[in-house]
Amino acid sequence: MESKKIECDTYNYYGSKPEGEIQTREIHKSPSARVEKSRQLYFETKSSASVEFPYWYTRKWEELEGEIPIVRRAEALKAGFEHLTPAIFPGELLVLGKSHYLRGSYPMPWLSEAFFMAHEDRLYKDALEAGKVSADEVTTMGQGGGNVTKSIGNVLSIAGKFGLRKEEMPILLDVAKKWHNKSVDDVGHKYEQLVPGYHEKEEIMRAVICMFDSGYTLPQGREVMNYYYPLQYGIEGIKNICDEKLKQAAGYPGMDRIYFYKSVYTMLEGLQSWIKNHAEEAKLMASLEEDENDKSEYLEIAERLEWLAINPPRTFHDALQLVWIFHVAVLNEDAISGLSPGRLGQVLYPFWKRDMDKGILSRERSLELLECMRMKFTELDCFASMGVVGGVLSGNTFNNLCLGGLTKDGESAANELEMLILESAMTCDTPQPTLSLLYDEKLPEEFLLKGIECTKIGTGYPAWINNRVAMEFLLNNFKNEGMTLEEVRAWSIGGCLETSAGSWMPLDLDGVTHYIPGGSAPATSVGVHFISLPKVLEAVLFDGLDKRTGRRVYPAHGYNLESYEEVWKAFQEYFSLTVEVLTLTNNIQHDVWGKISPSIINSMLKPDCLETGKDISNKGSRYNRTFNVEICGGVNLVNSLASLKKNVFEEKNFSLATLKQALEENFGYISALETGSYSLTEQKQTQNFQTWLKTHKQCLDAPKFGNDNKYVDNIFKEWQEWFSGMCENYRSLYDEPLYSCQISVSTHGPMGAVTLATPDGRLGGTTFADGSVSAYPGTDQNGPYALFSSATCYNHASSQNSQLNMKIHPSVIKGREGARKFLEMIRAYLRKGGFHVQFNIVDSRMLKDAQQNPDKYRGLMVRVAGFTQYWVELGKQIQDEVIARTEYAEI
Amino acid sequence: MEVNQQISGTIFDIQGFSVHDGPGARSLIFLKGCSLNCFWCCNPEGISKENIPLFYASRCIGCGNCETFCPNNAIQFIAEKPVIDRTICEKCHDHSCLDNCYTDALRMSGRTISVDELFSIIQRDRQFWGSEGGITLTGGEPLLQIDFAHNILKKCYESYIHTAIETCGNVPWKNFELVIDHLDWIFFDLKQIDPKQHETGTGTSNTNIINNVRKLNETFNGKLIFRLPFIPGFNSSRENLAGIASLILETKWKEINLLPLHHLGRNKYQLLGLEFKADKFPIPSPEELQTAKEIFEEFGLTCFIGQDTPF
Repeated sequence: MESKKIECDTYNYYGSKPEGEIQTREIHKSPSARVEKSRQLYFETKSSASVEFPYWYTRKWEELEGEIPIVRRAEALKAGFEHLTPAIFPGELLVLGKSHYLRGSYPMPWLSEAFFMAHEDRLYKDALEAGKVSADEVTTMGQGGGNVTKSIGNVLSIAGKFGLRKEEMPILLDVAKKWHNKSVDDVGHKYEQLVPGYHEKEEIMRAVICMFDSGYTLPQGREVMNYYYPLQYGIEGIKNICDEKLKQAAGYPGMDRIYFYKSVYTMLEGLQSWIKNHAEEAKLMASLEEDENDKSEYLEIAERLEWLAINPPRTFHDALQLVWIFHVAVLNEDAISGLSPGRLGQVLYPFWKRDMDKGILSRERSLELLECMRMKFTELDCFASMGVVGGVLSGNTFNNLCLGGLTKDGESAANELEMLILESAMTCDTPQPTLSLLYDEKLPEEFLLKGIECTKIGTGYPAWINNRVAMEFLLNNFKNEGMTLEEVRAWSIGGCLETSAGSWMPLDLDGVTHYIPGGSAPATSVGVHFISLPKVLEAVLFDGLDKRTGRRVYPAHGYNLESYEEVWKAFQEYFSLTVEVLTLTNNIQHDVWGKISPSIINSMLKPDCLETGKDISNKGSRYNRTFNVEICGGVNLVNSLASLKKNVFEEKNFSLATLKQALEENFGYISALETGSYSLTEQKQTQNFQTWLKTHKQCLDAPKFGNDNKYVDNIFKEWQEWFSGMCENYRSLYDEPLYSCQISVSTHGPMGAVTLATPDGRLGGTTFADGSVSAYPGTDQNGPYALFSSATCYNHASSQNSQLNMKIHPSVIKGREGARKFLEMIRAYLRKGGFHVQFNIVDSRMLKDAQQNPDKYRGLMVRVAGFTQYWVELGKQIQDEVIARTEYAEI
Repeated sequence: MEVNQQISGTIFDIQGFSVHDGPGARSLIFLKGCSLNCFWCCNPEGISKENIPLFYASRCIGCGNCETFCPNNAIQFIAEKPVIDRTICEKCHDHSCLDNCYTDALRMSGRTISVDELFSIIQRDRQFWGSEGGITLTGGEPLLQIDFAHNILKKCYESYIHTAIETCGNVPWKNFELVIDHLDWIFFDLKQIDPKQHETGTGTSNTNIINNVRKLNETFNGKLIFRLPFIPGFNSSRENLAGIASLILETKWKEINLLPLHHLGRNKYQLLGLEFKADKFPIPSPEELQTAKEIFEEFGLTCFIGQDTPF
C-alpha cells in the first residue's frame, strides 16, 4: 500500500529523526524594491534605546511641581514629543517613529525606574528583594537578530535587549533616580502593601507563580485603537472640540473634565510640533537630495505632514499616515504591548475606495503603501523589563490587524482593501502587524481562500478566529454596560488574542456616512497576569512550599491529600488565594497608574472619553469590564491531575510520597536549566535514572489531553468551567467582575523553567505546553481530529479566548487541493466552537538547522502563541518548545 | 449479510486529515495484513496480519527487561541489544515485554478494534472533514480482513459517508464482490504487467490481480483510479508501462496516478529488524516521471504524478 502513514510521534516524542530533504515552504513572494531595501536595512538594525524623551519628560515634570497631575503629565509628554529628534529614512513613504532610531524605543522611568538599571545598582537589588524581577532572572532572551544582549564597544545592553549609547547611561541613571519613590511602580508598591495577604503576593511573585504586575509594566495595550476622531476631524478639529467642551465645563460640577480637555489640547499641540519637525526634516532631506525623484518624494512627505498637522486626511495615503502618527503617539505615552490597529482595512476602506474611484490610486501603489506600513509596524519595539519583553512578549509588540467579521448590519465586512492587506502580508512577510481573520459563515469563499494562501506562506498569520464565539463572549461580558447585537459586531482582537469590545463610528466623507469599527474599551488584559498552574499544583503537593527556592509561598493547606478530591480542593484554595491577592494589589497599582500616569492620547481616541471628559482610568470608555485573570500551563496541570488521579489514587501504581520524590529527583534526569535544552526530546539522564524509569513511564502513559480521551478531557472541562466561574468572584478597580483569559504568549518558557518535574511526566525546567488547548508537544498521538475534539470539550465563549497552535508540514497542504482542504479543516474546527487556531507551516528540521545556523535564517519567522516572531529573536526556551511540537506530516 | 457490530479487526493506525487518498480531507484506516510482499513497501509493519513489536534502538538502555519478561523466549540479548524473533511474537498475546520496557524502546504496532469503536471514531472525524471527505481503508491490504472491512464499509456507506479503499488487488474475487456495493471509490495498484517480474518484486504472480481488474470493470460502477508505484529499474520500462496502459484501456476507467519511489520508509525497516531492499533502487527524477506520464498520455490516459492530483 502506498498511503503514507504518519510518523510524527516517532521523531518528536521519541527523538529519532526521519531522513530526506528539509522541505521548504511552498509560497515565496517579494515586496517592491523600495520595501525590500527597507527590510534589509531593518535586518541590519539593532534594538536601540534613547534618553531624549524621558529626559525632556522628566525635566518638564519637575518644573511643574504642584500642577494638577494630568495637566502636568500632558505638559511633560508634550515636551517629550517636541524634543524628539526627527528622522526620515531613505525610501519611506510613511514616516515618524518612536524615536530617531529605526528600531528605537526608550525607557519610561515614570512607570518603573528600577528594572533597566545595571545589575549592580542598588535600585535593581531592591527590586530583586521584593521578588519583582524574579521573572527576569529565569527568562532567556533570543540571542540573535536585532537584540542587543551584550554590551559591545560604546553600546551598553540594557534590559537584556536594547542598546544604549554609553554616554547616555549617566543621563538615564540620573533621570531614573529622580523617579525613585515617585514612579507608578514605587508608589503602587507603597500602597499595595496595605492589602492583607500582601506577604503572600510577594512570595507568589518571587516563586514566579505570577509572571508580572501589569500596573507598572504594561499598563496599556491588549486593546484596539480607534482612529475615528483624527480621521474625521483632523488634529486642529479635535482641539476645537476640546475648546468647546472646556467652555461648557469650566466652573460646573465634574471639574475633572476641564483638566482632561486641557490635557488633550496640550498633548495635541505636542503632536503638532512633532509632526512639523518631521516636515522640516523632510524639507532638509529634499534640499540635500540630488535625485529628482527622491527629492520630490521628500517634498511630498513635507507637504503631507504639514497638512496633517492641522487637517483631516484628503487621500488614502494621508489617512494611512495619520493612522500611523496616532498609533506611534499612543505608544509613546506608555509602555504598551498589543496596541492593535484592529479592523484597519475597514476603517480605511472609504478613503481607499474614493481614491480608486477617482483614478488617483492604483492597486500597485496601494500594495506598496501597505508594505511600507508593515515595515513601520515591524520596526516597533516595546521597552520593558527583560522578563516582560523576553519572557512574555518574545520581543513582539502584537499589533494585531483584523480582517473580515461583520458589518454594523450583520453582513460580510470583508472588502478589496483587505484582500490587498493579505497580499501585502505575503509580499512583505514581516512579523507586524500580525493578522487575524475573523471567520464568519457570511464571509465570501474567495476571501477565505486568500487567507489560506497567506497562512500557507508559513509565517503563522492570519490566525483564524471564530467571530460568533467572540460575539457571544462579548455580549455576555458587557451586557451590564449596554452592549447590543449591532455594536458587538464592531469587535476586534487587541494584542495577541484578547477579544475586545468595539463601536461603530460615523465617518462622514463627502456627505456619505460610513460606519467604521474601532476599539471602545481600555486595555482588555490587565489584572492578574499569568498564573502558572503547574507551579500552583507543585505548591499543593509540597504543602505551600516553592521547591526551587525552598521558601514558603502559601500557608500550609492542611490536607493529607489522601484522595484526588483533596488535591483538587487544595488546588482550588491556593489558586483562589492567588487570584484574590493579585486582584487587590493590581487594582491598587492601576489606580496609582491612573493618578500618576493617566492615558491622555489614547483616552482622547476612545469613545466616549472626548464626549464625557473622563479619561480611561475614570471609566471614560464605553466599556470597562476589562480586567482579567490570565493563566499558563493549563494543559500540564490537567495532564498532571489525570496522572495523579489514575496512578496514585485509582490504580495505586505508586504512592504520593513516591511521586513527590520522583518529582524532586526530576525522574532521574539532569535539570533542563543545566542542560540548556527545554523540551522533552533532548534530555540527559543522571546516574540513578533507572530508579525512576518505571514511575516516569507510568506518568507519561497516563491519559493526555489532545487525544479525544474522555478521562482527561473531563478533568479539563471541570477545570475550565470552574476557572471561568470563579473569576467573577473578584472585582476590578472599575468595580466590575473579572473574566478568564487563556493565552500563554511566551510565559510557558520561563514559568516552566522554575517549575519542578510535573506528575504528567514533564521534566523540571522544561517549557510548558503553549496556548490554552494545544496539546503538550508530542503527546497528541491521534491526529488533528482527536485534538480538535479535546479542544472543543467545553464552551470557548465562557472565556475571553482560547488558543490552539498547530504545526503542519508544508507538504500536507500543498497545491490548490491542499489549500481547499486546509480551509475545510479550519472551518470544521471553528464550526465545532473552537475560538482560535493558528499554524506553523514548517519542517521541524528546518527549525533545528536554524538553531544551529542562525545566520542562514535571519528572515525565518515562526508562530509562537498568538504572535509571529523572527526565529533568531526568540529565547531558547521557546525555540525548543516550537521544535518539539507535534508536527502533522506525511512521509 | 447483516452488519455485525461485534466483529473486530486489527489496524495499525487511523490518520485524520489525510489529503491525498481520495476527495476532500479524509480519515485513513490502516488494516493489517497483506497478500503481497513488495520490497519497496513503505508500511512494512502492515504486512503481517498480527500485532508485532517495533524496536527503537536509540531508546534502548539495554536493561534486559524484555528478555526477562518474554514468556516465549522470543528475545535474546546479543551485544546488549535485544534480537527479536517476530515469528514468535506474531502468535503472542502477552505484552509483558512492552509493559516492562520503561523507555518505550519496544512499541506495539497494531491493535484490535471493534467495528463499533472504529465507527464512533469515524463519526467524530466526519465533523471535521468538511464538505467532501470520507474514509479510505488502506493497509496492508484492506480486503484481507474481509468481514471487518465489509462491515465498516457498509456501515459508513449507509450513513452517507464517502468510502474508498486502496487495494493491491490480490484478494479472492468474492472479497471484492462483498464490498463493491458499499464503495464509492477504489484506488487499484498495478505494479508490473509481466507475471514473472511481478512475482520477483512482490512475491506473487499478477494473474489474480489482472482478473480482478477485468471483473471490477464489469461489476463496479464507482470511481476507480489506478496507481503505479514507480520504481526505476523495476517497472519503469516503456514496455511495462505500455502493457499496463493496454490493460487499463480494456476498462472504462482512464486515470492513473504515479507514486514515485521514496526511501522514507527506511526507518521502519530498522524498527522491524529487516533489510531495506529499495535502497538499491534510485528515486525517480522528474524527467523520468514526465516521460512515463507522456507514455500513458500517448495511450489516451490521464496521468497524475505523486500528490499532484485533482482530488
